[in-house]
Amino acid sequence: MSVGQAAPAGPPSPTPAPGAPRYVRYQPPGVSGARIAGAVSLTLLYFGLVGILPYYLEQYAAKYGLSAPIEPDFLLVAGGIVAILAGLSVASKPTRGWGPVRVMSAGFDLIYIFYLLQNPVYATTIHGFTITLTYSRILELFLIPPAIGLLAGIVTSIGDIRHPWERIQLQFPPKRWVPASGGYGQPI
Amino acid sequence: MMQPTPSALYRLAQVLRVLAILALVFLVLFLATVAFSAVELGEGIAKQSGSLHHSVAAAIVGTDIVVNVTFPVPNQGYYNVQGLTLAAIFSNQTIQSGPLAVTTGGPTNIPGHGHGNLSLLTSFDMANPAGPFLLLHDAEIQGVLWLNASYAVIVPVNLEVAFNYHWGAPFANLSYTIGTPVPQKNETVAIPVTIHFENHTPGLALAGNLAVVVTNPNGTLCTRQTFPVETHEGPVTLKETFYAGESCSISGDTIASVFTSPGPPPIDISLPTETIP
Repeated sequence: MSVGQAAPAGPPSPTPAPGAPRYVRYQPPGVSGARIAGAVSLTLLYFGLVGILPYYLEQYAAKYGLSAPIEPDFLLVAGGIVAILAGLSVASKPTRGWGPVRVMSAGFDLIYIFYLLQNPVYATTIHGFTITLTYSRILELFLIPPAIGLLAGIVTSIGDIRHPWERIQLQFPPKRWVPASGGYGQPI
Repeated sequence: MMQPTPSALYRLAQVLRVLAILALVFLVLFLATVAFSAVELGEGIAKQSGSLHHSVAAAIVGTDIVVNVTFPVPNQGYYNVQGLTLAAIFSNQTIQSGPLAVTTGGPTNIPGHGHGNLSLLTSFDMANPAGPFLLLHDAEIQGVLWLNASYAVIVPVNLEVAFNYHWGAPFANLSYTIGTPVPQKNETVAIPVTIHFENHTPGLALAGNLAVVVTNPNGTLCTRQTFPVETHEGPVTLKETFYAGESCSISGDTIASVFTSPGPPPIDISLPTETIP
């Protein structure tokens, strides 16, 4: 299922046997709210954490001779991809595409951090002082959240395949139920 | 209406998602506090840097002049500075091609919201070819200092500092002024000698004996006199009378001094020789 597309109403229910309980069917939420949340997340993340702010911090530090080993343009592009994938992840939450998008998002985060780990040394010279800061240990620690997120994405994807409506139904409690002839949903 | 029971997969995914968020929040907060603490640490050190010159001590150990610089390192941040070690090399290519001295310091641990003292021991070996020069002459020496430490357990920091060091000689401007020999009744001559030098080594107290030896050009000992010397920084002038055999011409003879102290630690430093004009 493509990201941002609303999950269809629950699966067709079999015709109830005479005397069997009647059911209501779960109506999945719309994706417009999730799209707005995704866009807000993307913007906040890009401007505040992974894109614009680090870019300007690096530009500001460069004025004082503090040059980081990462190209500012690379920060903008890679930070943009991180933010877009994170925004997509938020936007796709009410869909069955959430698990795979989370896997992609966490996977890219891991690749990005592994790339930064190739040159984890920050060296600068101020008034004859050369300061070298090795931040590989910090970056290694920052591998933990996306690694767990990747696992969560995989488990979510498997869960969404094996129990197609369970997560969405639990994460987005029903605002309304559609009467169904039975088989799936909640017994009345 | 009954709430459906979540499956194990759903619960596992939920736990993993919460764990990932908690880990990220913890790391971001940790990094923010590390950055804040590092700024506090840097500001504290910058404020204390003025007291560097008040904690210099020096001693002569064998043939080495050991300069010990101790300076306080306040740590106003939250995290410990661990395994703080320093090393430095001093050199001056015009005096000696190789290093003149090496410095070692640490390892020192400075707790968060605490203070530590860092001692830098620098040994200038006077037995080196440059020794005679450094005993008598002040010099500008180039130094390179390396600092290694681990901050907040996970951030290794290395600092390399190139600096100039002013070496103050302990026997700077050593000079012997020989007066006119006065013949004595017992076939000796009395030679008035004025020995002058200046102790420019900060924190070095010279306490011992200065043995002054005069030998004639064929190596025969003319006279040997020992004078007690006890001084801190500053000029020293010794006005003494030497008694030598009449065979010593004095003019053209060689005068040499050895500074000794029984210790501890024992000191035995030979000062350069001069020819009496």
